[in-house]
Parts: sequence; C-alpha cells; structure tokens
Amino acid sequence: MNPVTNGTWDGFTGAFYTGFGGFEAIWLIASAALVVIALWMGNRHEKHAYREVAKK
Amino acid sequence: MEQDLATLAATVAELQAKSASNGTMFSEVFYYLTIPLMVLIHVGFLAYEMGASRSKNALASGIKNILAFAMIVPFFYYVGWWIYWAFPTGLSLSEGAMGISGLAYANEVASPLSQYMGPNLDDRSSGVFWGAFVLFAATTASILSGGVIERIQLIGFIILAVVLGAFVWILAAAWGWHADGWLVTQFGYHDFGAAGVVHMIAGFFCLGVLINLGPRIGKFNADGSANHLAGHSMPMTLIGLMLIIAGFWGFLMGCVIVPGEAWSWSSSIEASIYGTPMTMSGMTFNILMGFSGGIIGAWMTTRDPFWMMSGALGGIISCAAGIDLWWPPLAFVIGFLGASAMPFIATTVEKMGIDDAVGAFTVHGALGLWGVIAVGIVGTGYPAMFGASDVIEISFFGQLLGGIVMALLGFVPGYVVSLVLKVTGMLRVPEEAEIVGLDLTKVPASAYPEGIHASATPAE
Repeated sequence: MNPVTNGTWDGFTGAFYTGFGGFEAIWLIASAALVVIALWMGNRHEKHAYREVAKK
Repeated sequence: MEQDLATLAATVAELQAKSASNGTMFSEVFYYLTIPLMVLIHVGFLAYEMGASRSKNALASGIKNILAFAMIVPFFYYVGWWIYWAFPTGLSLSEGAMGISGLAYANEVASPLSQYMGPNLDDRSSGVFWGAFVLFAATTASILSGGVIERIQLIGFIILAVVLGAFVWILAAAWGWHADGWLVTQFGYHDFGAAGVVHMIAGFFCLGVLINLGPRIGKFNADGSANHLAGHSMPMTLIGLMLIIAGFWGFLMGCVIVPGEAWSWSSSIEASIYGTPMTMSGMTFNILMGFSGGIIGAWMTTRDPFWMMSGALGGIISCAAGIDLWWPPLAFVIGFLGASAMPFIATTVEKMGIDDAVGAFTVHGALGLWGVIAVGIVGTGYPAMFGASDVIEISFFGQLLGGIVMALLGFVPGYVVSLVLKVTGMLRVPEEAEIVGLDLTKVPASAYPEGIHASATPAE
C-alpha cells in the first residue's frame, strides 16, 4: 500500500520515494559508480597534465 | 466545580489563541526569511555577471542586473501577482475547482487596489507570499541578464526583463505551479522546484532574445569558429555562483506550503504547491545530492571551475522538479547526468552561432527541461495533487507536454519582443560603444580606477 498503488496521498505516512522498496541499491550503486568514474578520469587527466608539463 | 471548569475553559482558550498566534507568526516569518535568502541569488548573479564581463563592461553589467530587480518589483505589484491568480485555468479567466483562481478571485486578492495588497491586520500572508514571488520573478530576469551581457541596450533589457518577470513566467506559474493550473489538473504536471516555470521559461526566453541580439563583436570568426571571450574576474564569478547556490535554499524553501494555517493544505505536514505532502528534511537530502552530482559531473567533463560551479546550479535545477520525490542517490545521478551534458549543449548552441555569454540557456533552459522530463521518466504514477481518490497522476506525457509548453511560452515572447526592440533600434548598443566598452560610454564611475594589474611573477 503506497500512494502510487492507492492513487492518493491521503492517509499515507512513512517513507516513500522514487524507487522505494526495491531500487534503492541500484541507484546507490549507480551514484557510487559515477563518483568512481569521475575520480578515475580526474586522476587520469591530472597525471596527463603533469606529464605534459614535464615534457616541456 | 463550575468555576473550575470555567477557569479551565478560559485557560484552554488562551492556550489555543497563543498556539494559533505562534503558528501564524511562524508561517509569516518562514516566508519572510525566504526573501533575504533569495536576495543572495541576486547578490550572486551580480558578482557572477560582473566577473564574466570584460573589465570595460563590468559596471554596465552590474547596473543592468540591479535595475532589472528594481523594475520588476513595481510591475509585479501592478499586474504580476494578479496574473498568477487570474489565469490558472487558461486564458478564460474562469474559476478553477479549488475556487482560488479566476477573474473575481484575482480582483479580490491580488488587484493592486485590493485591501490585501498592503498593510492589513487581518492578513499576515499576502505580503510575504507576494514578496517571495517577486524574488522568483527577479530570478528569471537575472537568468536572462547573464546571457545578454556586454552588448544589449539598457532600455531594451529592462523591457525584456519586465515582460519576462512580470508577465511571462507568472503565466507559466499560473498554468503549472498552481493547484488550479490546467497543466496540473488536466495532465498531472509536477514541477515542485520550478525547473519548468522559472528555469525553462527564463532559459528559453533568453534563447529567443539571443537570436535577435546577435553575438558580441569578436565572438565568432569569419569561418564560423568561436573565440572564448574571457571575463575579467573568474574568482568573482565563482563566488557569485556559490552565492546563487546559497540563495537556492531560500528559493526551494519558498516552494513549500507550511502546515497549520487557514490557507495551508494540511494541519500537520508541509506540502508542495499542489497540496501533495513532502518534508523539508527529505528535500534537504536531494538538494545536497543534486548539488554534489552536478559539480562532480561537470568536473568530469570540463575541469573548468566556471562549469563546475555552473554544474552545481545545473545539478539542483536538474533535480528541482521532483526534489520532493527522489531517492537521494537518484537525485545525485540526475544532477550528475544533467551537469555532465552541459558543456556539450553549450558547444552545440555556440555552433549555431548563438553567443550565450554565461550558458544561461544551457544551465536553465536545457537542464530545466531535463529535470521536468526526469520526473516523467521515474516519477510516473505518483498522485500529482492532494485528494482522497481519483487523483490525477504524474505521467511521462504530462511532463513532456509541460516541457513543450514551458519551452514555447518562454521562447516565443522572448523572440517576438526582442525582434520588435531590434526593429525599433532599442536592442543592441552601437558598434563603437561596444568596442570602447559600456562603462566608459555611459557609466559615471570606474570599476577599477587604478587599473587592473597583471599577475605577479610566480613566487618560485
């Protein structure tokens, strides 16, 4: 029983949000994966920049 | 015994009166405080635009921004607030199902001659609500202001800012950000944090203006390739952007309807402007996760501090429409995806020969649209309004339709009004003034009277 299946918010209390009850872990992993990808690419960019400076 | 009961009843009545007074005072102060917080948005835009301008135009950009804010206030008093209450059901001026819209209602509560539009000891809400909406209106003008820096005439800009802030966006708000709004009641449009009604409207309006305004001198080469016209103070711009973020907390606070008052949706819990329950605590998770996702996403694709801070804005704007609904890691993903796409959108706009000096269309128009559509992708099925049964639901179609309406409602007036200004010679500054600089041309003050010195040699 939730607002989506009931078709109303009336009488509803407690937690409810997009992905409630099954998709939390997926979005959690997705967000963490994006952080890791950003860090990996950031590190790669930084190392590349240092190498370019060293070449000069 | 009877005397005890009478004393008890009097005490209870006194406590109830005190409780009601405290509740009303709380709600009045709640909205009152959104206003100075939202003023931070304008402090931010002021710094952001002056920093993004070359030093020869720094003060002219500042004047434009300050004056837009000031001009919108009286026009929003004269007509803007009235539009919000008059037009939710469309252009017919008819009353909606909630009984809080239409010509008669607007005349009663929002006409500039109404007794509610000034000091009234029986009304402790109209002024603070009106004030919060004025600040939303001024935000739309500031969004426009950034895109058109360094070559727009002041009078042309003021006319555009007033049209946008006192007419266009508030009509969009009536349609999509009001419990009687036809997009809401007929299509379940959900836009909690105004991604469509503020950001899209202002972004697409700006795009329409930019087409007629044209690029700054030197922006494009003869072969169509673009040059980067760097502003004179990136640190000022970055601080400005962070101040805008601080102001966003007031902006989103102003999107909440507090409980317990005669005009509240609930006696016990906060609600969206549509009457759907939400909590500021939940919203807090999502603002910060969207903010964070936006910065990291923009960092990943640009490494540029300007775009990173714009990414903070973009992340929140991407999440704004559904910021009452997201699971926080999802808010992060939505903000990340939106912000990481920003530089590519900006490049596409530039390749079309459009000089959007600060990415106003990209950040507000394009990411506002992404935010509206995102609600349709992952928020489908949620009741879009309050009510016991047969409540219209959020749907992908409703969000898509809302996005199209916001895009057109923003773009068409921006294009048409700026075209009229162009034809009448009120849009663009003369070429010689643009080359000399707008400060020297018309500002009786100097941003840097002692000059700007180049960076010192490195310490090592």
